[in-house]
Amino acid sequence: MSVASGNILEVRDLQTQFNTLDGVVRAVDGVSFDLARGETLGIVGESGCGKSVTALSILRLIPPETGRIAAGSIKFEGEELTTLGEEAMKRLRGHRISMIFQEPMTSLNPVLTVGTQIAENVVRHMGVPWRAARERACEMLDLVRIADARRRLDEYPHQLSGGMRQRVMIAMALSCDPQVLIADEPTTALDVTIQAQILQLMLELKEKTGTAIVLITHDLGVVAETTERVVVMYAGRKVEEAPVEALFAEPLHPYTRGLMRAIPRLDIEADAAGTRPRLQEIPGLVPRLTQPIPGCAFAPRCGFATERCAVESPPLVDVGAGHTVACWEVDRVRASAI
Amino acid sequence: MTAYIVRRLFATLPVMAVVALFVFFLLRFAPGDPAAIIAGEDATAEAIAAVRGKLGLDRPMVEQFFVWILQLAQGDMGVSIFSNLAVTRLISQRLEPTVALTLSTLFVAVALAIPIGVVAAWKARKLVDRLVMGFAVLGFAMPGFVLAYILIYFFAVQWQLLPVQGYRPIAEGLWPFIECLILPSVALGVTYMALIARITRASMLEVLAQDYIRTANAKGLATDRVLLLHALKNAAVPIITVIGIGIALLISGVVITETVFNIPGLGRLTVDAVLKRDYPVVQGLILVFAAAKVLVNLIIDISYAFLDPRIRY
Repeated sequence: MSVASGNILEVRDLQTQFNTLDGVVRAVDGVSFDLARGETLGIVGESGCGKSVTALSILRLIPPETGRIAAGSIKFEGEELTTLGEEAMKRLRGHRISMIFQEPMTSLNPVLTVGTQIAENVVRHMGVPWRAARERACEMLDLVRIADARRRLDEYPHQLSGGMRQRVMIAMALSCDPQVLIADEPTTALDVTIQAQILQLMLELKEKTGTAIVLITHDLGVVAETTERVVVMYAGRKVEEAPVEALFAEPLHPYTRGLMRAIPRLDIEADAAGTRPRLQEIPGLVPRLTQPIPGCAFAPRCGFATERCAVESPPLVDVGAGHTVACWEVDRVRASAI
Repeated sequence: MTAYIVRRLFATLPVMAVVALFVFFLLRFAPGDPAAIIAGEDATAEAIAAVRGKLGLDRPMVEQFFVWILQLAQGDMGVSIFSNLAVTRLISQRLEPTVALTLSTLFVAVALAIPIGVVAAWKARKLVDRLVMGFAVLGFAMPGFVLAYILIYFFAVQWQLLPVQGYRPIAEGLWPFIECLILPSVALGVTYMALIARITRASMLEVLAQDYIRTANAKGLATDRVLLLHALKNAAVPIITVIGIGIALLISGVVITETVFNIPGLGRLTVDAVLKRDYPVVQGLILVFAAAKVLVNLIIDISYAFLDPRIRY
């Protein structure tokens, strides 16, 4: 039983597919992971690897006209979400599992006040009257350190900066004390200085409220600073999972290594000496997902790839201490320099 | 806001002046002569000239224009050439039926069109949507007077549920008043309803694809709150704009509907006055219609600011 095991969320073999004019896109193709109570889990990968779709699948927000969860299981506190009724699912959203989105500029309703947008969540899920919900909204704005919270309640999103709007989104998401917060690229659209503030804020609030966080990002720097465990996704599959220290100490999947080499670093001395190495990109593109990929999805872009990689899909193997990786050539990768 | 409204009201003065100028000279350049109509078919040229002199129509046109404008400035629209009644009185007598018909048509159209459009957008590309939009195309394509006769045939003649035609002032009781308005309002309103429903659907579809709707759904809000508050309020500006344009269409539609249903309103007064070249009456009516349109536009513009806080005047 998952409650006993301490996992609040268990995702197993999740497959989410979209119908497009080019055929069925397997956006998420058999992903599994667990989230422990109060834990911060990072999900990383390039654009189009299925991170956001995984997040939307958990809340069952995949638009039914185009996509569906084709297979797999999502258990929240032991309850199966993939088959839960829509009404029950609505009671869960924004209450026990909430979500923050990438675009603070467009994620808030432009014609409703900030106070209304936070308070309606509280009214909906806590069953309190509007007046009390507005008080709660005011508290939440204080909590996310928006100055002059009471006055801000009556302001509209266009009167706030991007960073403030993301704070409002966080206030809204946390207003009903959710057990799980899914943050989909919450800082991508913000200035670097604001990014740090928002991440810091999320971590502090996590400490206060005990909310577990799924942080979806393409930024390994963000992952290193904020998460405890990391899932690396590529082409709709999980290719590596490890505690964050282990991942950065010894990344074992060639794709993870590629991502790490692609992080720009400030090295003023090397710059002055002219010895700064060129930033390395990962050659090639994320594969199209309309065709089933028989082997390892990363093989065409991988320096370690063998013939076997192209035809046989590598299973996830536990290499110890909660570190798993899906690569046939993991021993060669481990032996090589990063 | 108040300053804006006052400024807009003052800005209507030049608009009205241009309307007055055009209606005055267009009428006089148009073929037809009220003096000839009054003098009768076999009148001699001298008799017609005598009538023209009595009406002041033999004065230079510019002089006639300024006489009229000076009268207008004092709130006097002149006197009908034919009935000798004051134009203001003629218009105010006929105002109630037309205002009643316009408002009831507006009500019927908007009250049906918005729910229809919202449901169609919500169930986009499903059966309900196709049925509703098919109905909208039909409604838009059917001329109001055709529908009027169909409605009269069934509801008034066959089933005898409603009066065939006529108008009862509200002073004679609420039900007789409403009873007479139902068929004309539906006949006049269907085209209009189809138009608003289509715009509502299109505008809602665009809004429903926005990120903030995904946010609203991620909060687990009830469907009606997402649709009617989060989506509809955002979709409202184009809908209100079309309603405003529709009111302009309504004013011309009223002419035909009043004729079919024998309602003594401004529409019929206009037709009669135009046919007889009753210059003062036509001029007065056109000014009233123009003022109504200007006022509607002002109300629409002000309503934008209430619907979208990003719009400020």
